[in-house]
Amino acid sequence: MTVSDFRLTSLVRRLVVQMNFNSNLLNISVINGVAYLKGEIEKNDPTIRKLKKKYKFSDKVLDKKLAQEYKAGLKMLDRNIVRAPGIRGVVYQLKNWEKKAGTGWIRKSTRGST
Amino acid sequence: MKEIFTIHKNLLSGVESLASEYIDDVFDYYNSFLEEGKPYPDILYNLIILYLWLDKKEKISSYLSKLLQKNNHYSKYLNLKKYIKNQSSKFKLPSKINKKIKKEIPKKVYEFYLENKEKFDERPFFIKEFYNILGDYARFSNRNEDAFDFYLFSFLYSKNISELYKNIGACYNSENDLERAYKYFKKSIKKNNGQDSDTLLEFSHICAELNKEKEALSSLLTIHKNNPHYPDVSYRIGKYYLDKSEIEKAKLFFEKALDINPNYSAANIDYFYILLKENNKKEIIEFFKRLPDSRDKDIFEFFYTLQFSKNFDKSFDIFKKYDDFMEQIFIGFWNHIINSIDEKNKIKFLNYIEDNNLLSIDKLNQFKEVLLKL
Repeated sequence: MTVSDFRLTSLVRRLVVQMNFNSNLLNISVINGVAYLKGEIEKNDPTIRKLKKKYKFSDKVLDKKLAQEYKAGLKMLDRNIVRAPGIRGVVYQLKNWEKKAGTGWIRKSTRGST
Repeated sequence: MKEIFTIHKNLLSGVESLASEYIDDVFDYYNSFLEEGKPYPDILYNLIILYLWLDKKEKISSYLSKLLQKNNHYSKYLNLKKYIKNQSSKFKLPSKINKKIKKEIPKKVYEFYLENKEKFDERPFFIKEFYNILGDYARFSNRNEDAFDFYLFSFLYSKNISELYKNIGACYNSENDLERAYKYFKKSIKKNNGQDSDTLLEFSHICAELNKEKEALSSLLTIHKNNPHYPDVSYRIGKYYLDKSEIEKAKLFFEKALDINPNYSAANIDYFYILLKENNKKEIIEFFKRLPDSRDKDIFEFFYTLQFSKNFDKSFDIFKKYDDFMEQIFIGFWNHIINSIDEKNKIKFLNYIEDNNLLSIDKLNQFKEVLLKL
């Protein structure tokens, strides 16, 4: 039985929230079984915010660490969505990150996007 | 996760001491949003509550004016303003747990309340908000047992069983225990007569996942009735009707979403699909006039040109403008729209590409397969 886009949208939203991405900054929909995420990627979980606040990293090191965290989070999110039953693929239109065939996730600007 | 009402390990040993372990982290967490220049309304609200709890007046007034600059029509924020300006007695929390509510909570919890009644009764409202904020933070940190204790403490101040059920539902929801989340959200909605849009929205998602789509729709319609200005809610209602092929209703709700947010991409895609399916050239032209210039508009024009003007030069110009458009076609994102285009137009477009050698043979064959075998 085909799963409705209506139902799949709620499933994809759960996967986004599970990864601690701020779902309020994203439009999440499913169209023809293809997940569609448009907007901004921002992580809300305390671990990431502690990283920013508590450790005395230089800006460059912090930036690199955050980019790694986001990249890993996006990779896992993408994998979870693609594996979800009923989902045929994902289309991303994100302000601050881009998924490139071959190279994976790339941040669009170097500062201020995470 | 165990049935949550059986867990209240900190209640007797001291939720307040648990709170003191959390408070610095919670402050750092919310302040970090402001430091990044992200003064989201709920962040400001929560910080004001935290500062009320600490009695730091100088921070409170500046955050309050920031909060109300753009959000002066939300009753939650206006109530906070009233409280801060008047400290009125009517903002005090209730003086006792009534009999009906007593029946819904565990005996141990009620006994604890009776032993500490003077601590919990008729206190200022921000105290219950304070414990809710700690509960939310514990939940975000995947410490749901602590979260529940904070929520339960908040309840003992507020006596608001609907809010307690909502918070328990949220704990189960974050544990992916959808059946229990459903049960508690449903209880919460029943207790407050469906007045809390946030709970209804979360409930609608849980219902949808549990394949209770009619119940999901009913929640969304309740939110829409109380406040018709949420584009996401209108869009989801439209989406429900579209899935059920109730096209007129779907169209109406997509229009409502787009009236509020003309850039709502998913709503634009589904709305354009309906117009194309109706072969409604006149309405599509009107739709284009309202639509801001964007990638979406270009792509809709590609499909429109293919169906109506057959100016294949223009179609192909748009087609090659976006690198990932073909990939989106291949994975099926545009299937419903491609299906609405006449077969003979698609064949003519493919012939045009072939005759002018515009794509490699491999790409052309792939494209043919997608366009003609839907």
